Amino acid sequence: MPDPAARRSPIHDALKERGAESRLVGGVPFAVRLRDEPTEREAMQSLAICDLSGLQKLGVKGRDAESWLSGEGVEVPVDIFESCPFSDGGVTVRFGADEFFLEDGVANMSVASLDERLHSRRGQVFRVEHQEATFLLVGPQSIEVLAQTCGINFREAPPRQLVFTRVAGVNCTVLPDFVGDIPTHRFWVEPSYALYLWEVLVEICESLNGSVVGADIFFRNCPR
Amino acid sequence: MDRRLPPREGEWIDRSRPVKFRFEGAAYTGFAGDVLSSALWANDVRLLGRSFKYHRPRGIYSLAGHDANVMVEDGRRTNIRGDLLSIEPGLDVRSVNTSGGVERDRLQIIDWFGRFLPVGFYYKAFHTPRWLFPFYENRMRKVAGLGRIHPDNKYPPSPKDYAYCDLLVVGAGPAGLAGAIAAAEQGLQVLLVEEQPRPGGSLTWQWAGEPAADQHLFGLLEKVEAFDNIRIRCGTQVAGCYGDHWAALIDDDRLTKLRTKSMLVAAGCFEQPAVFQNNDLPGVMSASAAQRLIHLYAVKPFGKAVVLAANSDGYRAALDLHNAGVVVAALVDLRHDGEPTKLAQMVADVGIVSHTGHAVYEALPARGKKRICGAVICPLDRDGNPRTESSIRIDCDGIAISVGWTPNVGLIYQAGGRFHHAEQVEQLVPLELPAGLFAAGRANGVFDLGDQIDDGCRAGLAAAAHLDRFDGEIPDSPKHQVAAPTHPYPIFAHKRKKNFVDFDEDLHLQDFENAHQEGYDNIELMKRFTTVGMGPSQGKLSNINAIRILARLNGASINETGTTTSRPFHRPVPLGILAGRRFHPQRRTPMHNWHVQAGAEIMHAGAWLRPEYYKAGGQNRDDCILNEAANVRNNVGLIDVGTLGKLEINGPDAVRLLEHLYTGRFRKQQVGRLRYGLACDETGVIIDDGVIARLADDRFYVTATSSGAAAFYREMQRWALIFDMDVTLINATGQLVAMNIAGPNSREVLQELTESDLSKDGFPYLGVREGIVAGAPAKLMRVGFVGELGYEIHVPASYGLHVWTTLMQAGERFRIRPFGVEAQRLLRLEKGHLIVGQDTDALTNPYEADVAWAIGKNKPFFVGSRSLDIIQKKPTTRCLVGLAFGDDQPRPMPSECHLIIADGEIAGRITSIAPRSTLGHSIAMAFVTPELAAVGTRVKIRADDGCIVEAHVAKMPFYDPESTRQQ
Repeated sequence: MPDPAARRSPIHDALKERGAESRLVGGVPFAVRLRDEPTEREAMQSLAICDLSGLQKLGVKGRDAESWLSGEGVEVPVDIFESCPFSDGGVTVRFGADEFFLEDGVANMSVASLDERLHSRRGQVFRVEHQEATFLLVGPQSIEVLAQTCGINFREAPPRQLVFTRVAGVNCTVLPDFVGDIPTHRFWVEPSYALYLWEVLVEICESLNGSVVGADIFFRNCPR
Repeated sequence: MDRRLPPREGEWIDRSRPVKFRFEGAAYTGFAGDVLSSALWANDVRLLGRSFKYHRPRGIYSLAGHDANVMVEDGRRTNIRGDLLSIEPGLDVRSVNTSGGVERDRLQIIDWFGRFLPVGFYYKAFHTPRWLFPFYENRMRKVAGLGRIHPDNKYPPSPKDYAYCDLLVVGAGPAGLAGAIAAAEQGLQVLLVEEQPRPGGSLTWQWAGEPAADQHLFGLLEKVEAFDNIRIRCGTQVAGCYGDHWAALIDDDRLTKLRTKSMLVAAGCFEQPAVFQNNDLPGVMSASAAQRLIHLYAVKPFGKAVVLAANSDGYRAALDLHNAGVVVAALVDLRHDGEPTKLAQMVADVGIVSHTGHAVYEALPARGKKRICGAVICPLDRDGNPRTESSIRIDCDGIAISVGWTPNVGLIYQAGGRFHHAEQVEQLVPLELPAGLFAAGRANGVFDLGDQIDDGCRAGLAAAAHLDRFDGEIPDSPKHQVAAPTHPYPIFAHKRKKNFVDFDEDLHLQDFENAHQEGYDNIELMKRFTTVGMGPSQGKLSNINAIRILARLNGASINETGTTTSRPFHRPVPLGILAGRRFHPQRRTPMHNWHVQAGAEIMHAGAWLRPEYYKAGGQNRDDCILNEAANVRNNVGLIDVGTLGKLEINGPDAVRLLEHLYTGRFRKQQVGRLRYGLACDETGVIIDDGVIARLADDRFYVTATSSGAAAFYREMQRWALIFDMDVTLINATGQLVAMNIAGPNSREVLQELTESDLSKDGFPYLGVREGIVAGAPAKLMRVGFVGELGYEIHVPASYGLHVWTTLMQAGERFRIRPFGVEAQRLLRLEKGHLIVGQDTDALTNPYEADVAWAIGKNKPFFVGSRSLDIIQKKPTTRCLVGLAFGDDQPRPMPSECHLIIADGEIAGRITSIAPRSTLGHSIAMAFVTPELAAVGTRVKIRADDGCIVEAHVAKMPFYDPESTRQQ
């Protein structure tokens, strides 16, 4: 059986250098905290960025993908680029007519369970490996970070609607959403570009007095 | 002398914060809120710069950044406008374009030789005698140019950002403020941009002191503040307007790329100079500059002034000067009928003597020309010519000029607007505007204050209507009712020819007459021959006068004469702002940091960072590479090949698609087996290769070249659509990493980490298996790219580092070593394996590259098959062969792309070469003509400096020709 504890975020070393405290969530290591909780909670109110790359991901593609997912009890978005909640704090996104992407929620167990059942599927349903890095920009000023890195007007981007774009010159998928009433932007980027994009986003965040925080802000504040 | 006035309402300086700064090595004090020019003038420093060509003394002219008289450098930045540079503690600046400082500039002697330097003289001088040209060029380069660049200075990257709005309003004067409010009332998101540090425009200095104007200012600003949907950016210029209402906003920090749905230009006007003798000296300035000094910075502009006017603004300026304690010795009005409004009486009531129908003929310089000491005024005849026989000398230390305006509408020109010259205002006004673009206020030829506000409101509503947010009636633009605010020809000849039209380029009136005489009678030719408008102020103060002069010389109207083309940028922009923060994406595999810590020399392979080789024990590069390769041959090595393309083809038509895309056959390929895949385009040219692994009846896993993966995947998608294939394609290139463990001990190392049967029988050569390696889900492939027993291991990216380090630990007792890209290239060259893109080019077909064996026999169709059928019937023109060099290493060794020469003609080229190999001699791959392709043929290669190196054609593979080691 694969050992999820052997997985590492593409920016593991960068977070370690900042003194991040690590913890397994669903068997996968996360950098959960860099400072004390009140400080990180306060940072969320204006601008913060954290790494959620350890959230398990799964892609399902093929003619029978939608019916298979529905059969597994997964709520499936109707329109392309739309998203639905999955698990608790997770998300299901429709990439195309026959392609779906799932990212796990705070327990980080549901995707693995679904993945196992995918191996024994019948019909035209194919597994797509997803190892993207996931970064979460939190706070009202996250719009300013996007303004410096992307040509899309995110002020007018509807929440929970996917945006395929380029951020700081790399292909990226962005999902605007909320944690409570705090705006968030979730980035998915190919792991080979992850460290580069992280460094750019952190540089800009810090120039706007934002800070790097741990994944616990997501685990503790996601609606369940 | 301290010229600072007592505190006044609306001043921009903060007297509680004095600021010490230095100019030209001397220390001064100003206040926070001062700009350099105002702070220096307050300290009675009048000499602020030197002109470009004649190095004439210059002082304040516009105090708005419309001229380039005051340009300084601070040791880091250069060509900073003194009119716009806020003073801060520690500021230390010097004037640009001087030799020995602004006071004692050694190059001021050029002014004496002005008569020998007429316009265009450089086209006629310096080319004879030819041998002197280098001397002239050297001298000219030393004296020419403005400012110095300091290449050692490092600057943090300035941020660039995007912004969006419904309406961009350019200019926060009365019309702009009113337009923003009108649009915001209709719900538009408005961005109001003002180049000065505070909003208000001319309301802050031109109407200052008049209660009505103050009420308008405060009322408009209060309303703007109340709207959440109006954002104001001050200290920001709209530098350029591009297609689809894309505008470049520049401030001190950044470039903002703005996308707006509509634009309202209410940017006002530039006050125009009058042309008379010595009109450029310190103390001669626009009336608006004098008013800015008084109202914004509380600085008394002069002790005693002459005001030259041709409109009501000049009379207001005279009153402002008087109220600031300046002795206004005379108000000289170019108009014979004088001022028609009550302002004329107001001026008379305070004792200012007016001279109607007069002009300032000459400004009298004080010793050294660093200030003026008087003015000579003359009556004008009915044709507007000065009657010098009746001239009057008036002592003064300042001349304030208000003879007219030219609209600040460069952005409208850039957006494609058209203008015509309107005689009722004697200025260019918009004739035709592109959709979504509006003009208001003085830029639109509307001068009365109340009318400006109404016009702004009209334009704001028009913008809202354009965006379907207002469907009410839109009023017409107010019509100008009174006398034109601009004199049609405030230009006067003088025999001593220091009456300047363009201050930047030191062009005087005679220069234009001379140019016209030489045949440059078109405005575009006139511009380029004289260089009018080509200086740092970009013609803001000179273009319209140049047009007037040319029109008069041609006997034509302004409309017939036309204007030159306005292009971005509207004002000079530092290159650092344009460059800004740049994005240089880099790709790394998860093992990157491990490589760096292991001493890898990292190379760029496209966007990827890859280990070229690993530094070891003080060895040089070549030794390291050779030793890495030898370790693979004799022992076991591990290479990170994570950049490889990794694609999946699944579904009922997977085999069909493969058979169409590749030259080979896959229908009978067994599950668990690999085949080599060669792909061509429709012309039969090789575009990619890799291995095709069959994981299940309807599932294939395909590798592609690192550089070609993305393009090849797009081709797959395209052909799948064209052939209407029922397939599901997946590009997993970035999601998986790959590593290749190779060498005689590779099986032993890998077996420790997996339960999969790796034995020769259990996992034969060209097999593929799925399993677990070091706790990670993996695909394992037996491939032989480097010619040894080896396994390519593909795992999800997040497991990559763990698997790599576990392999290295497991291999320690076998003395496993990592090997880099260069060692791999050497090993595969020894094995005779080509690299697409290295050993093939944009024209190489399989027959030339000796891979025709990969073409399936009797295949009915694959992409490129028809072209290859044709090619096969033609004689081959080149062949890819192996070359071996003698045991004694020739010097110098040839490199890739060096040519093979036969009978004095090019007969081929090197595609890959290894000066050192594990075989003990140099080897290469090369294209040669068929006549040279036979094994044993000696060939000649031309290396650097024309040396000829000999090699012979050798059979490939060079190493292990029976391929027993990789089985």
